[in-house]
Amino acid sequence: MESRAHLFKPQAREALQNTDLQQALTRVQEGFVGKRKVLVDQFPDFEGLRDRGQAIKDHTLAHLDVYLEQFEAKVREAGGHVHWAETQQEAQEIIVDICRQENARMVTKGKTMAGEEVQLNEALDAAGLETVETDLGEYIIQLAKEPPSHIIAPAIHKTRQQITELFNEHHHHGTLKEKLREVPDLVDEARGILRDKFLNADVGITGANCLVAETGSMFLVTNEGNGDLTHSLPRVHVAIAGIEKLVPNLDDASTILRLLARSATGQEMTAYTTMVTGPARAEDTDGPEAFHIVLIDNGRTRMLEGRFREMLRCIRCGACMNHCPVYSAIGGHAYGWVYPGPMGSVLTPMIVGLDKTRDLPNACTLNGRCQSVCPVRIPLPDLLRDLREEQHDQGLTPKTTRYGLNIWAWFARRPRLYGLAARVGIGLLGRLGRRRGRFRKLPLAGAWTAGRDFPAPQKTTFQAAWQQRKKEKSA
Amino acid sequence: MSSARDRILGKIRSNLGRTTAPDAAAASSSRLAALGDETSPRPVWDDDDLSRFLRCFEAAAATWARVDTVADTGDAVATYLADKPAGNTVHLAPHPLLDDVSWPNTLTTARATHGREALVGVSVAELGVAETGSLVLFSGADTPTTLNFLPDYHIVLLRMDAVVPHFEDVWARMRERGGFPPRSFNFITGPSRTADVEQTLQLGAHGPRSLHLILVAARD
Repeated sequence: MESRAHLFKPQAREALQNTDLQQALTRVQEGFVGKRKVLVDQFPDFEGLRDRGQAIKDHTLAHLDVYLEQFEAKVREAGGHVHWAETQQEAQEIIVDICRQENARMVTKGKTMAGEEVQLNEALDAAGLETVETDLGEYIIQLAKEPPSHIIAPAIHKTRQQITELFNEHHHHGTLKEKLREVPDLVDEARGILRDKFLNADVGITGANCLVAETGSMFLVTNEGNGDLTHSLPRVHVAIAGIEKLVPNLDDASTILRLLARSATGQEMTAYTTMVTGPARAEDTDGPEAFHIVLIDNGRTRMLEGRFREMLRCIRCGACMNHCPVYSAIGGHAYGWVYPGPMGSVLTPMIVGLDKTRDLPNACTLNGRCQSVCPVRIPLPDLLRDLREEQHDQGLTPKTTRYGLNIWAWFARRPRLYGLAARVGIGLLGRLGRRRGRFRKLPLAGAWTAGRDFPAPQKTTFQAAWQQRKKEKSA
Repeated sequence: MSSARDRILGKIRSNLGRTTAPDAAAASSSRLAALGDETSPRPVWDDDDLSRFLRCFEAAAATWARVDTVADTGDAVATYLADKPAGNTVHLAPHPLLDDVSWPNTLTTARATHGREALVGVSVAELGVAETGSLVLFSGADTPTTLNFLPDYHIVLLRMDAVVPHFEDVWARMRERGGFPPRSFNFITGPSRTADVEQTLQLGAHGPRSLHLILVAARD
């Protein structure tokens, strides 16, 4: 999808007023957060597991070229094809070409965030292919012509009533009178319609949760089984994955699987966790004749240099957004692109550009919950702060903010003067705001106070209070 | 013009601050240095592996029955299907172990090289994993993958002595087995499910609506 991240503020405002969305968002807390906590508390050494996850990813990223070459050789050995895509356009061209060469008419798709990232559906549609999303959540939002609002539960923003309406319109030409159908009824109807698509598709496209250099395999983690029907029934299986999904060997993949299922859906293991290696063997009685994997760069190699390499550890579990107060308030669509929440606020500026995503690094209270649940210990708040710094350095912050910060910096480098100015300023604001305890408006900070009240300072400066405490302690 | 492959690998190298790739041996010794020789922290349990396996298996909404010999499987399947609208035809994976089953005449059997026509599918698991209660199924001439996903009722045979504790034990066994890795290697933990409508759990999303295990005690 095209990024709408530059519209974060109006989108967030709209989301806060959307009652259907607000109702849907309460379920993220009830479901994912609670279930994850039970399993993490049960696990003997979850902190040690997180350390190991981090170490595996750090090691792999530091040797990414070696392991990618090993992975490529192993895929070829198993009879598969490896494609490399530097950009969104290259990824689209590769996959559309494969479909054309196979004379494909219908494509079934498992959920792939990398596919969302490179706007794969748009490219397949433009090439005249019938493209069907098969993950139930993805199918629902495909009918609604909406992007996913969560990386694990793409239709989490939809209510049952909305899904009833969508199915009525698309499956029954609007003839059903029922306004609210039961969940089993809705799931069963989608199952019937999609079963037919699975059986008749020419090409199946999936993402990959993890790639293994040792064997040239990819892991696919699902609960519905749609991923397995997508890669097992059509003539051709095409997988698409970011280059950072790699781990060295199967034991390392085990660590990632233990972290992923618990952190994502609060399960010890999903219903289906599958390792796919190449196309059907000569003796196999089913499975695709051809296997292709498309490895995506799309800005990732750039992130290897410097502090943002840590972001490439991400295993796309969604725990950071499930625990984020900002995501919980506004949902995923307000972020304006494929990846919402804390991980999206770091990743989107890296891929789409900091100049087009100005609000994202600032849509964070720095409360640190995301970092405390991240299975691979990505310091998300630090990275968001770094992005804010980079915004300042690139001159992307508003003039008044820059002007204000420069004045502050000038004083901060002169401690005596800083102390004096703070005493005068705090004293003045304290006296002015004594009656109400807060300011509705402040000169030069109109944009800031438009959305919040500024609390009136209490009596004295922090530094003076600190000195006072030190004196009292030593006395 | 260089290929996308060379450009990507080139960028990786230059952004990692080197011009050539270290060899695989150097990478693997640096992996050992970073991760040590120990295995990943993992679940532990007080009772035996089979009990843990069955506890997790049941927690995933799957059911099981124990039989003494492979031959007894037929009656166990008939008992399981008796109260279900599953018809009386069972599609069997072309696995040699299933040749030893004696089927009651209430059931009709058909050999299936895929799952397209199957309402009831019977396949054979390679291993069970105690840590998660997962069945391991290996694609191949005698175990077609689509038979694991297309039937409404998926019935799986597992020998009791084929339950291993952890994922790492699965890999250790598999690295010694011929034909590994197969095209599709499935860990199956309960029937198909979705929570995509209002986070409400619903079984039978796209794959089997139920998963039933026949646990075979004897090594015959």
